[in-house]
Amino acid sequence: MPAIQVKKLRKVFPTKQKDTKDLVAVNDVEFSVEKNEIFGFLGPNGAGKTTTISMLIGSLLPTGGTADIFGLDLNKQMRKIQQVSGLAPQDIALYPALSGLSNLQFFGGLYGLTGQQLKKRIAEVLEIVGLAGREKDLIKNYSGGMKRRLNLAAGLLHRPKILYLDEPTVGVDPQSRNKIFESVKHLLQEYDMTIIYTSHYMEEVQMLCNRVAIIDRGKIIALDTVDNLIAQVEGHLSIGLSGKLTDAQQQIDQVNGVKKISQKKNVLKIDTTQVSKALPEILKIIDKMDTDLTSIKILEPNLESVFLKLTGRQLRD
Amino acid sequence: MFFSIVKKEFKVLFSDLGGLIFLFVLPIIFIVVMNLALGGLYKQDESSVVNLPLLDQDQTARTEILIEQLKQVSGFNIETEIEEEPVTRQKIDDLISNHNRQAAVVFPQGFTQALEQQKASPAQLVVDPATSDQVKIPIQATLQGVIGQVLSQDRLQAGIEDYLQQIPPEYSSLVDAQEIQQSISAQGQEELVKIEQVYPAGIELTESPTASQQHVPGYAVMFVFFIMTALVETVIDERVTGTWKRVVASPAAKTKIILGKFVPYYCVNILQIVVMLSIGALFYDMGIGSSWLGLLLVTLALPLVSVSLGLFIASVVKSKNQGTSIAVITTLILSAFGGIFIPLFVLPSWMQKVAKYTPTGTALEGFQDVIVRQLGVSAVLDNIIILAVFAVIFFILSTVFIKFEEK
Repeated sequence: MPAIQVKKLRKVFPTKQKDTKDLVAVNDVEFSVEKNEIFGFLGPNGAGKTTTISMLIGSLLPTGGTADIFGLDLNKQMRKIQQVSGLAPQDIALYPALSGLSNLQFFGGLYGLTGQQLKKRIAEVLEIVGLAGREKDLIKNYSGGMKRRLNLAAGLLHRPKILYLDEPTVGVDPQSRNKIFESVKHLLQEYDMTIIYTSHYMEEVQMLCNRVAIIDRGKIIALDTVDNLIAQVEGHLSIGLSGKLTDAQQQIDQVNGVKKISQKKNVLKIDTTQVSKALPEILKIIDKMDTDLTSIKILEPNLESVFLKLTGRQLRD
Repeated sequence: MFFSIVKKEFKVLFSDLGGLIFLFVLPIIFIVVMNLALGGLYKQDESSVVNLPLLDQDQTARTEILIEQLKQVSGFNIETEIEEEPVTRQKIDDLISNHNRQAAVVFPQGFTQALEQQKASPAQLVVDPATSDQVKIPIQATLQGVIGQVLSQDRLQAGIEDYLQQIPPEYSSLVDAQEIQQSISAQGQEELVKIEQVYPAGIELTESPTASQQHVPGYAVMFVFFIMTALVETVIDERVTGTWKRVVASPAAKTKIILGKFVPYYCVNILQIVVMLSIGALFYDMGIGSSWLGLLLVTLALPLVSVSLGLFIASVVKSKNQGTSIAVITTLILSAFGGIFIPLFVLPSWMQKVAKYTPTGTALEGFQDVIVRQLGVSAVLDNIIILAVFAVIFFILSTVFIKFEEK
């Protein structure tokens, strides 16, 4: 049984202007997340990722549909769902005038944590996000990356079964980004958490997630494992050769995995679904031919290519 | 560069059109309210006349003349009957205690005789101890002047007649009795009559009220309501920064979330009152009455209203500009209606009736009952109940309008 089963979840924001249609922010979205899985929610800004999470965490009322979260009904058992859910929101949802410690004490208190237990959990989450020793500093004096990490820590205090990470690396430095990635992996291994990770950075989703739902304009347009999604699109090889290209082009076209080949001046552009397997074969052919290799450029397929293929737009558009 | 900054600032201002409109609309509301309230001060018509009940316990020809003379004084409406019933001392006490009249005059039994014998039996001016000197002094001066004038004319007339009788008839045509009377009557009237200030039955003051007793409670009530601004700002900030979303996403019950916001501001409000009253007591010789419990109950009840009203405002506004404007103007209007910086008698009668049921007016009356009138708990119970009702209404409205889940 999946940890989360979302069924026809819908959110419509009515517009006040007469001639404008209501905004369908989430359009009958359906997906399921397995226990102890990192499920990626990939899409451009405004695609409906945060709106979906907001409905699942109870800060936004759905217009329609439902979800089953660890056996709890979204429309009937929200308080219980909130007890097992943690959130690191897209905004830095912290009190700047308070210290990191005071913020954690407050958010822990909201989940009923007190006394030694709260103290222990605070030490634990500070360790996880790499902020131990900085907890007494005021949030307003933290760097952007530190704020992001404490934002994550605040969502972990009650050891939620499911953690929603909404664009957790927006605007952070590489060091903090790596620390957040480490934290996510650590949580998955040590705490048996189920994580829903939204981002518009395809590299992060590709690196961290088992399965990915690609969402665009409120609709899920693809949902599969990262490998399966990538397998749907071709990678590219651009090979520069000197000498006669015609024979080489004919032989390369026969290589397993090569979908299409085209020539522009002295460069062969090869589309392939399996760049890593096709490349050694192609190099062998070139080696046997009366021609020299002058340049080679490899473009592996990725989720960006998947999004481009599905929507005709770049992910960051 | 300069125009870019100006243009940007205009855009920012107009991005919160609601807030901008409130910046214009609210002062207009304030002007309208204050004009209604203060209009009576600057126009001479029936509404600007001070009603002054008068009880003549002496019932002599001289007090009758006095009453007639007083009735000639413009600006006063001397009431010897109210609602076709003769004025009694009980009626006067009720009218003053219920703030239906600012003051009343009593000519006590033996008043005329005592005057004739130049003994002490002054006319009485019945006032509420909380009535400010701005109100009492003009009434007292008028009363003193009129009584003095009548008495002096009376006495001079008698003296001059005696004197003229002693002048041989052949010289009497050379003396103008009226001229002598006019030249002398302007002198020394005030020494001839004394006005004693007395309070309605049930109020026994050991000392006259001080200025601080009359002003500090009013300012305390007004400044307590300024906490609404801080509360509104905090709530809006939470919504903007996203912390509110995080709080809502927690399993904390809605009532706990609201009460959690309520309690700290409530405590600060109480501390605010304690500090203000303490400053009055320690540095300005302000007695705080004899009923500690009464004072405590009013102190505890007033912030219930200010904080719950602040929460209500925070729950309905859309921006910080809107919220703070409404909070400030609400405070000023409530203060005006509550008689904090405008004496209630200045207000039109309909506003005076409304004022009795404003949280500010109710709280001020409660503080004055304890501090100025030196009454006990029973005197302020009504006020506490009214304040509690206000608090419950505003609190319920807050829970109804405050946005937890966005819709």
